[in-house]
Amino acid sequence: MSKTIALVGNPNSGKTTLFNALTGSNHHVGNWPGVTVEKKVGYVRHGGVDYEIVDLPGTYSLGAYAEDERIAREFILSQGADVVINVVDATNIERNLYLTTQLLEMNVKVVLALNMVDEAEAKQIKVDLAGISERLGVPVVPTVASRRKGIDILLDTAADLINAPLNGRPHITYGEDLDGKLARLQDLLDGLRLDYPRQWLALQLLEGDGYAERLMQENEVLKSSQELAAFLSELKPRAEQYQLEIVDYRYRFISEVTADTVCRPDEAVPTLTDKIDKIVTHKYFGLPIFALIMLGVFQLTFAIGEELLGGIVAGWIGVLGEFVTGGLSTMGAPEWLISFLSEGVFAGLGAVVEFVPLIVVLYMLMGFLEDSGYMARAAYVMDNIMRAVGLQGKSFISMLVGFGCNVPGVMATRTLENKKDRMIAILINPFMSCGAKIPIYLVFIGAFFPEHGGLVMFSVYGLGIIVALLMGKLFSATLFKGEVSHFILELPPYRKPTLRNVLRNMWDNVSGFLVRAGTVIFAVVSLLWILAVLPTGVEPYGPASILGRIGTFVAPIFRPAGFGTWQAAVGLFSGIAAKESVVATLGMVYAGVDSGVELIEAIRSVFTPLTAVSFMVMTLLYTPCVATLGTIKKETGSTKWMAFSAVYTFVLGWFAAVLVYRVGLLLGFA
Amino acid sequence: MIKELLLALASGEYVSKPELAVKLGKPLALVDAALDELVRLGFVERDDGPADCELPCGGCPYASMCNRVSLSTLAITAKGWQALSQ
Repeated sequence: MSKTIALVGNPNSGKTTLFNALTGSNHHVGNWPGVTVEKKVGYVRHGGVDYEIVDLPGTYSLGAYAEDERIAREFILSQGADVVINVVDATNIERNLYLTTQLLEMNVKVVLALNMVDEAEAKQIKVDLAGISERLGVPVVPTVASRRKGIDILLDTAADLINAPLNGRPHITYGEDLDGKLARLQDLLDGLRLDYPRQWLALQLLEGDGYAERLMQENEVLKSSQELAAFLSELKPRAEQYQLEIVDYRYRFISEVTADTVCRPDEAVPTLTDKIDKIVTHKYFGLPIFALIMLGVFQLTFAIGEELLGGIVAGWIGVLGEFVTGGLSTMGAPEWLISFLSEGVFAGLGAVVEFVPLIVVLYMLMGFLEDSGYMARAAYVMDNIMRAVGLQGKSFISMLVGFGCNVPGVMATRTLENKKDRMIAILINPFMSCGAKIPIYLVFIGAFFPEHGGLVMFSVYGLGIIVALLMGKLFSATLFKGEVSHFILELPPYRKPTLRNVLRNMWDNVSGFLVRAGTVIFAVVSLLWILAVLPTGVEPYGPASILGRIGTFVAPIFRPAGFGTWQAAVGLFSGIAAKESVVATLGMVYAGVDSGVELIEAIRSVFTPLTAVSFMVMTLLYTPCVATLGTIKKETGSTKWMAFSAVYTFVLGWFAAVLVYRVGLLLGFA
Repeated sequence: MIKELLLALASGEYVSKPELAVKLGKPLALVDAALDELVRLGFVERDDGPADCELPCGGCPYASMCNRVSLSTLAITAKGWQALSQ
């Protein structure tokens, strides 16, 4: 008569390789009853005895949480195996021994196959086999399944164990309190006829295991014990606490087993990543370091993008514009088409696209930080600050996403389970300077602060974060009160950035920017061009045009902030369609006023340094674009919150711009 | 040790798993395994960041502009807080 050996182990422990080494090609594959999980059964003859080898699904635990776990557990508990070979990865013993501990709790015959000992040796992991065997109370056989090493000894050991009595098992304690409860449960189970080991069943009932609880409801023998039912009702409210304690004691047991039997090189020594993190994520230095790095990024962006590459694209656009419009004139094309292309497309769209070199440099530097692993640290630093002002820590993730674009930024708030936390994160996300706002800053920096571009850009980004934190604090204290959550970040190790990743990150962003310029911005510019040249008979791009009349009507709103011109007003309102449109509109309306004058020159003649700052503050904070508003409506499921977001950001932006302008005037700035 | 880990998560002071291992005086492999077990049992949840916006990047019109930051966080669940409070 053949004997049955079950193979059980963690995924990637080499269990299937061992199965193949044991059975060769003598096996068949099917499914476990009622499920689609693969069942492999093989056969081997050893020492004159036939063995059936059952390869159980790979699992980390023998709980009732996953199908694989349940199949493995039920097969072992049904006493389907005469002996269990527990395959343990020698390079990852601590993790694998959790399953071993649960096997010991089931009180079954176990042989531990310590697999991949060659890899452990290569990694300088030293394992005291005799020590582990003694502490676990099971035989331990070193194997290298891929090279069939230790296979015969493993089969010999399994065969011996089948014929030997089960003894020498260690006593696993779960603490005085739980041990007492377990003893009481076992006493209550003792008088009942059951197919399961009592110690194991008692443990599962104490843990609140779903399978054991179902057993209590379905098994006539268990249901009949009123005393047991009463005791379980008493235990049930604290099942989660007991489960946690039981897991805790299992790990204590593993810790005791491996304490001086498993020795790893440089164990518990902080890595280089940890040493760097000590500085860059420091409670007090982390933020200034982050600020300095970002300031450096912006300074470099202007040094390389503006001084070395600036003007290249603008020059190309100028040459191309002249070529196209000149060609069309020669061909006798209609005046409106030439006007549309020169003032609408080349002046408007060109004003946006000419900043591509700066955006290329900025995203390359950001990609470098991202690929090195630093941005995750920056997130940690920001998280600390967010928690300090009472905000949900995880909101920072959506804020970081918002630096690229507010639409995915708002969508990223889905990771927040609490609705109140989500609402705050959604409402503050538009204050993150998205990529579309960059051209606006660049135009005004180019016009008034070319020497301090990096510093001004850094200040605008910083102001956005500060306003977001302040509004978040205000919302969490008023509209959305709630608890602050805690978590740890799994920070990836630092790595050398690869050129491929950096370039890909840059291209993703720049191509997105260009696609929008060719679609959304083109549509906006086309519409505004029509409004700027109609009605016929009035000066195109003048205050009498439809666009001019709309701008003139709205402009007084912005007069207290120092930029009450109709051009600035239509620029801001076109920005609600898409933020890049602000620059495109300004490019078009100023080019229309005085064709050939570059936008930056035109800006200088209309704005002052103070009104330029006030305008940048307004564009940073005011109403998000329609795509973001649409996403807010979708994510909140409410038109009311979308309207609230549109209005409160506008009001806030307006007040901030007026404040900047008025305080600036009082301080003597022009 | 499991409770210590959960308490460490509750304090929110730790940066990385290696540092956590150093502070608890346990091998990293054990801390790693224990954290995974806490996740599996539902005391802790793992969040792999913006990818969880549930919109596959391939189908997202904003994917090219999304500032994807690879972050993974571990946070205590309601079940974990309840167990801690008991």
